[in-house]
Amino acid sequence: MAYIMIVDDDDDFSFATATILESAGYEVRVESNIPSAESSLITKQPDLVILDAMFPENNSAGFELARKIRQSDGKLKDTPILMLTAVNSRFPLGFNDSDIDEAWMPVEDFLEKPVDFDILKNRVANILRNAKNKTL
Amino acid sequence: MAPASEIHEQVFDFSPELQPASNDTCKIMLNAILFNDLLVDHIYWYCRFRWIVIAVLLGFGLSSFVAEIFNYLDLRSNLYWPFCIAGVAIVLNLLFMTHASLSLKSVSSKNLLKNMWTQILLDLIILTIVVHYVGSLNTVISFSFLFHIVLSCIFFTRTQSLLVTIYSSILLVTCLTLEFIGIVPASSIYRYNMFSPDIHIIIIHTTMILSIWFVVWYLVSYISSLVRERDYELCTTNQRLKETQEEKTQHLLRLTHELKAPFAAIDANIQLIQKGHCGVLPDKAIVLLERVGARSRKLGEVIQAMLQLENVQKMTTEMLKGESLDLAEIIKWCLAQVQPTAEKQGVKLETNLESVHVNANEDCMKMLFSNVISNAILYSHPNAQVTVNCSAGNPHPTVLVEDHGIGISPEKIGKIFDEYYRTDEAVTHNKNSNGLGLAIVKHVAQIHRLSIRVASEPKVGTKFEILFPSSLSPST
Repeated sequence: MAYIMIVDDDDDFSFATATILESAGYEVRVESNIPSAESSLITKQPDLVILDAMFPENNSAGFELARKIRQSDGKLKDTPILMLTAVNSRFPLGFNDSDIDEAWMPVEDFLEKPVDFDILKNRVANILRNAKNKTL
Repeated sequence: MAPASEIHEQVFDFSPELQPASNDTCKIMLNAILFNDLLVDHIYWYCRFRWIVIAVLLGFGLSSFVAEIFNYLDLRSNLYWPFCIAGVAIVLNLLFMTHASLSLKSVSSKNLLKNMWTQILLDLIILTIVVHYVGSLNTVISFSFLFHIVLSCIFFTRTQSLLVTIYSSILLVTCLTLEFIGIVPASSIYRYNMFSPDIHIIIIHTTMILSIWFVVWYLVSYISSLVRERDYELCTTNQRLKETQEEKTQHLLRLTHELKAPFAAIDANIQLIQKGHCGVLPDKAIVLLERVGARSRKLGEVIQAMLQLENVQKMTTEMLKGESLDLAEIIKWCLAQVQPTAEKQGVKLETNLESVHVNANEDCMKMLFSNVISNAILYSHPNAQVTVNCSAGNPHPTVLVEDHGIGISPEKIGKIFDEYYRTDEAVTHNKNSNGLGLAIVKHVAQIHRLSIRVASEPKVGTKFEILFPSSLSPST
C-alpha cells in the first residue's frame, strides 16, 4: 500500500482529499504545517508528497519544502511531489508545464485547486507508477 | 509552585517620522554602487582616456621631428620628453589595468578605490611634468588641470574634489617655484620665451590660474552635488515604487489564496458527498449539491477574473517586461487549457498556427488568447467549429479567432469590452459568463498597443482579429 503525505494548512480540503485517497486504497497522513511535515518525512518516508504552496507565515513555504526535499540526503530526495495549490507565485495565471524546473518548482506534477478528485486520483496513480518503474 | 512564565513585550510604533530615512538607505546604496560597478567603470574609463593622451603625446613627439612644420609654427623641434612621459604612462596604464582586473576578481572595492586614487595622484604628477615641458607660464597648458578637477567634482564628494584641486595647486606652485629658483630650468615648446621670469608676473599669473581653478571647482562641485541629491531622490522614489509594487503583488497573491481556498474546500467536500462517502443521498439532494458545486466553482472563477482584471488595469506599457514569444506556442497552451470546455460543448477546434515571434508579456498574452478562444467556444452553436489562425501577416502579425455561434448585434458590439457587460443573448446561451473576460482582453491590448477588429453577425458567428504593431516585433 503506497503511503501518501498531504501537506496543507486547509483542514477542510486536506480531510476531503485524504478521505478520497484512503478510499482509493492508499495510506494517507495529513500534516498541516511545514515543521511537522519535515519531521514526519524523516520518521517515515512517503511514496508521494501532495504539497500546498502557500502557508500562513510564508507565501512560498511549499516551494521551499519541495527544494529542501530535493536537496536532502538519501532516498528522500527522490520522493515524488505533486503540487496542489489555489494560487502560485507566478500570479495571475495558473501553472504551466514550463514552470516545473529544478530551481523554481522541483516537482513531478501540479494541479490547481479546486481539483476534480477523479483527475487527482489519476495523477497520483501515474506518479506512483512512474516512480515504481524508475526504481525497477 | 510552578515558575512564572516570562512575559515578552514588544512595542510596535507605526508613526512615519520614526521610520528610518530611506534617503540615507539610498545614499548608502548609491555609494555602494559607486564602490563596486561604477568604480570599475571609472577605472577603465580613465585607462581608456589615458591611451588617447598617450597617443596625442606620441603624435606630438613624432611631429616634432618634422622640422619644417615645427619651425613654421615657431615650436621647438626634435622633442624627446613626450616619448619619455608616454613610456611612463604606458607602463602605469598597464599596471592600473592589471591591478583593476585582479581587484575585480577578489571583489575588493577597497583595492579598486586605491587604484582610482593612485591613478589620479600619479596622473597629476605626470601632468605637472607635461605642463613644465610645454611651458608653465607662457602657454595655457596649466588649464589642463581643470579636466581632473571637473572629473573629480563629478565622481567624488565636494571634500574629495577640493583635495584634488588643492593637490593640483600645490603641484603647479611647486613646479613654478622650482623653475623660478632654477633647480629645474624653465622650459617651453616655443622657441622664444614670451615672458621674462619676473616674480611679480609669476605671482599674478599663478594667482589668476588658481583663482579660476577654485571658482571652477566651486561651481562644478555645487552643480554636481545638486545633481547627486536629485539622484538620491530619484533612487528613493524608485525604491519606494519597487516596494509598493512588491507589496501589491504579495497582497494580490494572498487575496487570491484567501478567496479561492475556501471555494476549493467547499468543492472538495461536495465531491466527497457526491461520491457517496457520507452515505446514499436522495436524488434531489444530489441535484442541489451539483448546483452548489457549480456556483462555488463559478464564484472561484469570478474572483480569479476580478483579480486578473485589477492586475492588468494597474499595468502600464512602461511597466511591461516584454520577452520574445512565439505566438503559436502561446496559442497552443491556451488551446490545451480550453480543450475540456470545447469537448464539453461539442465544439471542434480548427487551427492553422504559423510560428510568429513578438515582444510581449507571456502572462498577458495567455490571458488575452484564453479569454478570446474560450468565448468563441462558449458562444458557439453545438457541434460548430472554431477556427484559430496565427500568421506573420502583411504587414503585421495577426491572430484570427472565428466562431460559428450566437453572434453580436451591431448596436452591442461597441460595448462588449466594458466590464461586466453581457448581451441578453450571451446570458441566455451561457449563464456562467461573468462579463470580465473581454475587459481583461481590452486592458492587455491597451498596454501592448494591439488593435482588435471585431466582425459579427447575429446567429451566424463572430470574428476577432488581433493585430500586433510592428513596434512589438523582436527586431525593433
